[in-house]
Amino acid sequence: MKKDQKKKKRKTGNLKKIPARKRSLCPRRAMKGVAIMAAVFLTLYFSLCFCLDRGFLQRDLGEKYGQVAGATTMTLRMIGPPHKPVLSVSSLCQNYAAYMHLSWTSDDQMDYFDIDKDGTPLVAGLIENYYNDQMVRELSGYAYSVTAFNPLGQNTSDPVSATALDCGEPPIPPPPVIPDPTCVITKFQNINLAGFKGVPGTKERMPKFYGITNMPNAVIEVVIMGETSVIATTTANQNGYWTWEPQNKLNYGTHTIWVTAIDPNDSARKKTASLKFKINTEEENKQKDEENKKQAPAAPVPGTAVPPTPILPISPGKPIPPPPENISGLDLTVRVKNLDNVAYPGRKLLVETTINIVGKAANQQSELQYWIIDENDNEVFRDSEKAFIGGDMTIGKDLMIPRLLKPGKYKIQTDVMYQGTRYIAEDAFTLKEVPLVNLGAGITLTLGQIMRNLFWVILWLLIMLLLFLTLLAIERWISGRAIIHITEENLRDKGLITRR
Amino acid sequence: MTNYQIIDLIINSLVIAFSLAAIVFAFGVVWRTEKELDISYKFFLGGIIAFTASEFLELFSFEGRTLILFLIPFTKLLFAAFFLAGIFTARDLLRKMDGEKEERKTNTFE
Repeated sequence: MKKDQKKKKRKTGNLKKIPARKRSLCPRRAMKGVAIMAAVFLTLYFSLCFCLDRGFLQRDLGEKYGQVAGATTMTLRMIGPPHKPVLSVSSLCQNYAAYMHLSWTSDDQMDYFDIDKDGTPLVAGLIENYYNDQMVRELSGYAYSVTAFNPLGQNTSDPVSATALDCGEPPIPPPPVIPDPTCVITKFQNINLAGFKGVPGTKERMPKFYGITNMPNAVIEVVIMGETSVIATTTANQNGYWTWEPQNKLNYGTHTIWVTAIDPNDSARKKTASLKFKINTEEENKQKDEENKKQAPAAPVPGTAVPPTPILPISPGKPIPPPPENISGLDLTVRVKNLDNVAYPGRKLLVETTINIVGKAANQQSELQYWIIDENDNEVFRDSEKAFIGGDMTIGKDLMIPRLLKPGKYKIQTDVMYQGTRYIAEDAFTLKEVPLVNLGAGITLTLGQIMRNLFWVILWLLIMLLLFLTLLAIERWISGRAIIHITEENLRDKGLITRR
Repeated sequence: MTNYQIIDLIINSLVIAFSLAAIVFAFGVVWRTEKELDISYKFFLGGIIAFTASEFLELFSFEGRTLILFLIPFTKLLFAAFFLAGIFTARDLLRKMDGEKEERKTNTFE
């Protein structure tokens, strides 16, 4: 008999020794679970606070403390019946609207006040001894009374009547004065054009033009007429400052540039400035250099006075005719198709070039050139492709941005030659550092950001790892203490799996 | 940072935290079960690990990172396969216990 019992005991292990109470979810275990969950959430909360915005933790704790402190105020007061408040009402104006200013006497024995207006309640539970009634009509009369309350009773003031003032009509604001548009070419290559008379010349075949307009973010249309005409578009910055330089060499000789600044919000507002300039040939350059050397004064002997350089009279230039109308045979636009005009080094820049032929189209094989230009107008990347221009068309191009380009603001310029005229269009884009971690919802962390907050990142990762390993160790320890291994037969024997 | 972004960030963090907790507790079950029940939980554990891996990989996913972008659906496939295998093993176990399928005689307690 005893042997049978021992056998049975061995079969079922020590299962019977464990009281069912211990196996169920007792309050102590539940509390433990809640404590673990609270610890997890608190760790997450502090980690997020430290990693994202350290000021947030201070603000959040400050607000919570403020709420608790504000909710627990203690007052000690000698109770007596409230006195009769004395009410005074005055009619006032604010921003051409009438209102009634009510004020009354109060003392420590008054807890709060109710106001009646024309015998009906206006407002209740006021703590202050004043109130501004905005709900009044001009030149209308109203009667007010105030009732003071405390635990021992209440007391109502004598009614006071007043008439709302006539505050008049608000004046119509004058329409904003829109200044006349301006556009000035201020500098040509290294020559400051303020006060300069004559035709400025340079040996640089891709000269840079600088200018200013009083229209922020204005569209700047550039037209250069010569043997090979150039039509280009660029934009001014928010201060109206703009620069432009051709990406192809201009022919030697004299050219005329017309720069038109157009208001981006009103294309009818525009202003044109023009300049005649000269690209000197190499011979002319040499001659000029020699002349400069001859004219250059000898090195002054120390202690002797240097005579002033005579100012040579410059003949005024002839007036420049207005820019030729309808010269455009092609309308060129370029757009960056990347989301929010943001690109990344080593990734694609999606460029869409739209060509609209104005007037009669002439089929022509041409070369489409692409430049990426940095903030200092330096060319950092160039690409080109052959295109057959024979009507309105849209050309898509994926440009692989070099990996070593620094993050910053760039512009893509597209250039096409059509019927002897060079057309140039551009669009701006921002080059950002490639993110390393994508947290979702558009929140990304770059390697630079991680390196700057390396301490907090490592701390956060260590806390998470420690938490995970601790939980795993606890689980392993609990499993090690388990008395039996659970199998399906075991569950059936225990009656946890039964027939229906 | 907008409210939407904060909520999204919190949800993403909770998904990872809960997945890691699920791994720990699934290990706990695997360590104390045997036979087919153990196998089914091992499959579930594999599925949870694959899911957590896919969540971690998504943190580093970005346009142009082709290997990571390829690995994410692969880990999701692994998760689905492990989960299916776990469910299938548990179903097989129940069918055997119900007598629908023949149960192999084992001598667990003998």
